[in-house]
Amino acid sequence: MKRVCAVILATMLALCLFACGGTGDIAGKGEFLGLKDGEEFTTDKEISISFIRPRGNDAQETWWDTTVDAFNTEYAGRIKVSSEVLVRGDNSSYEQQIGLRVAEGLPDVMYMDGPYVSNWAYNGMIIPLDNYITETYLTDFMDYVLNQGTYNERLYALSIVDSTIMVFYRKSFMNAFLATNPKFDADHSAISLPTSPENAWTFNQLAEIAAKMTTNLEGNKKRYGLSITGDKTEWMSYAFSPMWNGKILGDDALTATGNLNSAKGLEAGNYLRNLRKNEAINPSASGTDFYDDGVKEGTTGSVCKAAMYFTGTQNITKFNEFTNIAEDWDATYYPRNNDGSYSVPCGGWTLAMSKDCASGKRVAAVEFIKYLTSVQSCRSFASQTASPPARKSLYDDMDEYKDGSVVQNGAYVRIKEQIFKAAAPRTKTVAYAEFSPLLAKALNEIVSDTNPNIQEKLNAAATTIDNKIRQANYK
Amino acid sequence: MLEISKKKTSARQRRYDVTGWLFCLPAVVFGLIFLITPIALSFLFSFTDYHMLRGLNAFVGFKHYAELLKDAVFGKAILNTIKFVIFVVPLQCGLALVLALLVNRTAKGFGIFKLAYFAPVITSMTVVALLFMNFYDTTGLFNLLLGAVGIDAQGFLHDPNQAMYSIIFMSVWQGAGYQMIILLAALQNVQPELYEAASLDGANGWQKFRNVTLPGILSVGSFVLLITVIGAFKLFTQPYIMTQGGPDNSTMTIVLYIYERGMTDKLIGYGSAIAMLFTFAFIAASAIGKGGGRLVSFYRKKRDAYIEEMI
Repeated sequence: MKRVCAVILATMLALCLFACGGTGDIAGKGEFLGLKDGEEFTTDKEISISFIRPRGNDAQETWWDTTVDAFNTEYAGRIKVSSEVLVRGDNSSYEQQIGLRVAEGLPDVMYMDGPYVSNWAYNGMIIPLDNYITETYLTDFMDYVLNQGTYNERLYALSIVDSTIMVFYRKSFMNAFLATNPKFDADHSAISLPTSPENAWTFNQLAEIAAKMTTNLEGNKKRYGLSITGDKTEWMSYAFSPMWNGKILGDDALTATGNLNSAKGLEAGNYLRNLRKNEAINPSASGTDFYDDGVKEGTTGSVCKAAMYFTGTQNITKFNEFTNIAEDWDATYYPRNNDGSYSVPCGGWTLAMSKDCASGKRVAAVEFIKYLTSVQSCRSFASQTASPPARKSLYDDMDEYKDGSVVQNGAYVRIKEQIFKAAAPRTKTVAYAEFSPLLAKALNEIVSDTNPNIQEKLNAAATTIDNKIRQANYK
Repeated sequence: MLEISKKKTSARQRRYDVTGWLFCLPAVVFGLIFLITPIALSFLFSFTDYHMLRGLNAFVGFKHYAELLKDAVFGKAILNTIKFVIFVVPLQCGLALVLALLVNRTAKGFGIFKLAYFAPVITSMTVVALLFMNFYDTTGLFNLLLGAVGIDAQGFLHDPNQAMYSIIFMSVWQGAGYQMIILLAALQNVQPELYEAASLDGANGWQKFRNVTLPGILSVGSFVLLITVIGAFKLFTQPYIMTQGGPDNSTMTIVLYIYERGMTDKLIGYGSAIAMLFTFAFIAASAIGKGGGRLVSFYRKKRDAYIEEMI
């Protein structure tokens, strides 16, 4: 009986080793295998391409359905793309679901969150695109977009649009505040709306303005000055990592201790803590506080619970769903660090080709990626989803981004200005999956705990991140 | 003649055997695929470097087990889980028994109490957890009530010293109805004649409870105890939804840690090693159950002796 058990266990393990082994063959850098720009894709028989993406908001879903259908029509008889849509939810569940599929085989093309490019490339889940895309094709893409998609000097991913964080505000509350508030802040600078990224509010100024804007409402309720809610696993890392001045991990991008818990980290932690202490934010805010009074067909709205919203540009479509909010929102620049340095967090979803895309299908898969990242697609996606386009030329071409545009009181121009001034991809590390959730958790706890020891929390987060990175055996 | 009869019998017996096996087959296949194979694989993976994204590349022997001994979060997860078991099992079983005794009445209107106490059990734990997150919020119901009597707002889920107790309180409230229903069924099976006899002997309420009720429900009680212990050791949903193991890992439990290391961190090998160690915790829980069984037989003997004495 013991022997039988041993044989069964050994067989199972051998099967596992067999099932887990092998990654797609990768061509060397400089070896071009794709189509030249303008060259038409031809094939003897139709090639099927599987594509996976997370479910987006209504505007994004409409765009995806229309665009994939249009691609299939245009390439009828040559390429057929079938899409699979997963619910992303919270806690990186999309990334987990993709991870679970590695053993059984990944879809040919994957839409993935930009900061994970290094992680997925390191783990051999995606293969370089630069063997199939000409350098000329890439010249129109924003440098930071290409930077985000690059790992080990190879391009692995290409984006359609990107995202950045702004301080969104309700004009009605802001105008009332500016009209009635004493005109000087602690630094004796006049409180006014910034006119360029160079004079963007500092983090401290934002905190002071937010605290002053917090208002008591009827029924023991408050409308807080600012809302900073977001995804539990990475939002806080995304939003506040520039406060570390780019030194959140060591030079090897694998060491948190001494960096994440440095003096800069403590300053960031204290900043978040004071936001709560001074009632600038609601520690238990919901993501809808900024537009809870929104009115649209079938809903009447309640009360706005946050006058400003520190959030990503992807939420603009949400604001525009409500007739009263669409006219009332505006945005100012991402804040400068208190020492005057300026770096704006960017990074969005991007397209990559999986290791399991067979050699014979790769040119077709890249043709699909190129279709999605074409000028026309980038423009329509950026326009319909109110996201900043990944292509430079579109900032001169789309009405809302043109210099002097008055669309939404010039908010889109401010998005462009801050991106061109100081856009930087989120912390680039192969260990993003280990690093980001733990930093976000620590920062969330600093905000929500009643009496946190900030330094201890940062130390613990740094130690845990380092341990996890060591255990995951990153080199 | 005898030979033919024997052959007939054995052929019939074989048919019976085959029929029996066919009846068992779905359960055996199901158990093999969804229980035995995963356990065996988990056991094997615990000795490998299996990473969800990179696959299985090498045997690492007892490396994960050695590392677990130094893993502070794992130690905290064990202590938290034990703390949860120690508090929840007696509180939940005790409350369930009290509720069962209260609703074990034939008077009109008591059915509504059974329904009220059982309602949380049929409500999804996710829904209950989200509801209690609102109650525990800084501006939630509990803090409003505390504020009304002049007590400062509490952190509940955000204070490392209170978070686990907040989860314990909610879990006791949510789960007690299930144990109550089982204990109620046991209470209704206790023979009324025994209470009558005890009354004739001049036993008071407490004596009736101690010498009639308790021995009468003890075998069911030990079952309730066992399932509560097992359920408590498997604590996952509440901290996953409400605290994600925080603050400061004060609500990190063994199962949540298996999930975090195996799924979130994608270290299948390491997660499997924790799961294997967790299996030992279950064996310990079973041992407790066995001890409970012995207690039952002890009380049974005592009850039989009492009945004999009465007769």
